[in-house]
This record gives sequence, structure tokens and C-alpha cells, in this order.
Amino acid sequence: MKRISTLCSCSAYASAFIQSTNSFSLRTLTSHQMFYFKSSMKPLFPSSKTQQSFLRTVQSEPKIQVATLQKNTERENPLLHSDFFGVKSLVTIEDLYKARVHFGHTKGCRNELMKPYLFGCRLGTDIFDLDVTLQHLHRALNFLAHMAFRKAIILFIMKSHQHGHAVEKLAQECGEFAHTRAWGHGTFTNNKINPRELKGGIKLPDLCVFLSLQDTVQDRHLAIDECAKVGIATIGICDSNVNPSIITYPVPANDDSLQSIELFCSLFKKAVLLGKEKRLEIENSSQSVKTADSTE
Amino acid sequence: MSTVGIRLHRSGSIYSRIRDLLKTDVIERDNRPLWYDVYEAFPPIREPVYVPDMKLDEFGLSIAKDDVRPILYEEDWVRATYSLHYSKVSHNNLKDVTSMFIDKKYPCVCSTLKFVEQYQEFKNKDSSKEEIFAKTLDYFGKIDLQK
Repeated sequence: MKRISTLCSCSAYASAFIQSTNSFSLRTLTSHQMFYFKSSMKPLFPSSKTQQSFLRTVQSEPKIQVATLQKNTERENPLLHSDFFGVKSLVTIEDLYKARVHFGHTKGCRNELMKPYLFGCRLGTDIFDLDVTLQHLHRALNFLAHMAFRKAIILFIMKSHQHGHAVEKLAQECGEFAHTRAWGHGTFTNNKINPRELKGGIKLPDLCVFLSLQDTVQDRHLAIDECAKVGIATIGICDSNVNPSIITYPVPANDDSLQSIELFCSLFKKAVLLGKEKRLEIENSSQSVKTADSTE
Repeated sequence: MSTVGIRLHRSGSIYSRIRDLLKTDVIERDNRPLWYDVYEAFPPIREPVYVPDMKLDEFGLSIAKDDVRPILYEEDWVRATYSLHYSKVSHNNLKDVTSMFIDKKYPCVCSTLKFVEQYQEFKNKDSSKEEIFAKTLDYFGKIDLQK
């Protein structure tokens, strides 16, 4: 009871992390505030029913899977394959064009660091070079799929009244997390609010996907710097008026049109689900190998 | 992960910081972040090192040179002349960015569009652009373009 009360006192700062109803049933505490827990040893509220692996680092991977992966010489290391998840076939330049991904802001709003990604300026509106965008997008989707394969905690961030619901829905359909509300200052970095040293403290995401680098008030989203401080990898859709330098895998594209955000939501969802499917495949086949070994 | 030296988000990239911490054995190899292996296998096109925004001048304007190439087409001259002098539509918004996004399957509503398309059909190397313009104008004189 003591534990619960200390965590609930953080409610003023913790924001609503929406999550799929399929997995991790223990995490639905209250209607709007859901905390995500880290456990180096075991879950805070141990539940024998849910099959949760609080994977945070490489170390905590179950050894059985690793052994069977290494044993089976046919199974390749996904990192050695150039496109293990077939992410490059998900989108073409024509799809990007139809979704109006190439429209940037007006040239008065231009951030000089986005200049290398621009194809040109049509009557005052910056236009992205879709060849360059596609390259960046392929890398970002590939990274996303690999992280989903490794059971990363993925947080989709978008502070926009228009698109907030779409992003929450995306996270629900993927089985990952979303944050589309006001960002509490110090959500990742404040150690007083998020005690990490305690046993069973708060756990951070492994990857943050920004569908827009800006807050609604046209300021830079606070989470970008916090991710960089704490060492969380980021994927971000960078429009022509933002500073993309600190994003790990930037994707220079339009983040304001409904069609363009819908396209990116669907692409990210597909990439995450591809990663998770492959993981299930490998786990199931390794289990069957394991049972075959045990019967011998 | 609240080890020393990680929170300097403006010095190097997250990758370089963690790589160096691993090298000096501050973090154990087993405690490296989940994205580290994936980053090494598939690095981004540019390492995410912080670059500050350009400083503004005394009036709050950017001091950078505007050397992004303007996107102009040959038929822009046709568009401009036609829509200014002959089109019946008001010219409050001359910035026609929608010309970047024309889908042929939808029927043309804009008269400038029709005019330009017809101009393209008549275009050949012999006559000058004024002559072809006059020719298309004659062509459309018989048909009401606003339909």
C-alpha cells in the first residue's frame, strides 16, 4: 500500500500514457493516468497471468531464446540482413506525393538546418526533395521495426489538437504507447518525481517517435531535449521550420496535413507490427525446437 | 540510467556518448541500451550531433542567404499572362501552389489549367511563345472556358 501511495502522489506530473488493451493488463490503474513500471528483478505488482518481460537492456533477454537462436544455424541475425522486415516495400515516392508529404512551410518560417532536405521553393512554399525523404524514411522504418523486434517500449509523441486522437489510436493498434497531451517538464529527467534508483521504479521508453517536433504553440517539443539527455533514441518527422540536428533518425516531411500524418501513422504501425510478428515467429519456432529437444 | 556524463545533450550524439562510456567501462557491455546494436548496424545518414539555430539580426530576421532554388516551369509565363489578362477569376491569391498537385483524372475546373494544357499541345519549336499563345487564345475564343 505504501508503494502505491508514493506513486500516486506523482499524479500531478505523470501524463496519460495510452496503451493497447491487449497486453499488460496490470498497467490500467486509473482512467487517465497510467504509469509504466520498471523492474530490474520482478514486476511491481506481480501478475502470473500476464507474460511480461520488462526488457530494458540487452542483459535481461531470456537465455533460452538466445541459445536456440545461436543453435539454429539457419536462423540469421536480423541485424546482418539489409532489410530483414521488408520495410522498403511499404512506401513509394508516389505514395508520399499523393499524401502531400512534400509541402513545407513558407520560406519565411524556414529553419536553415532543413535546407539540405529541400528540393526548392515554389512561389514562397518550401518543397521537400522526396528522394531524400524516402531514404531517411526507409532508415527510420527499418530502425523502428528492429526495435519492435527487440521488444522495445515505443512512445509516440504528437502534441496536436488535430492529430492527437489518430496518434493515440495508432499506439493502441500497435500495442505501444502514446503521449499527446501537455508534456510535463522533466518527465524523463526529474529524479525526484521519477525515482529510478528505487526497486521497481519508473521505466523509460527505449524509442520515441515524434510525429511532429513542435508543441501546439510552435515551440520546440520539450521531450526532444529530454530524450537526448537521457539517451533515448528518437525518430522524428521534421518539417521545414524545426531544428532536426538532435533527432537520431529524422524524416524531413510535412507534419501538418491530415493525409501526410495518416500516411505516417499507417507506416509506423506497419513497421512495428512487422517487427512484432517476426519476433513471435521466431519465439514460436524456437519453442517448438525446445520441446523437440526435450522429448528426445 | 543516470550515470555520469550522459545528460550533456549538446555535446556529441547519444551514440558517441554511450560508445565512449562503454569504452571507458563506466557502463557494462550488458547494460548498453537496446538501440545501440541496431544503431551500429544501421546508422543514420547523419550523426545526430546538436547544431544550434542560426542567430538572428537586430530586427529578428534571419541572416542566412536564401539560396534554395525557386521551382519554376516553362509554362509559368503562360499561366501568368493568361490568368492576369484573360481569366475572369479574381486575382487575390496569385500564389498558385496547387499547380504542384494536379491529378489528371479529375475534370479541370480552372480555366488557366485548360489553357496551359492546350498551349502545351500546340507548342512546337518553330513559333515563338507569343504566337502559340495567340493560337490557343483563338482556339478557346470559340469555347467557353469557364465551364
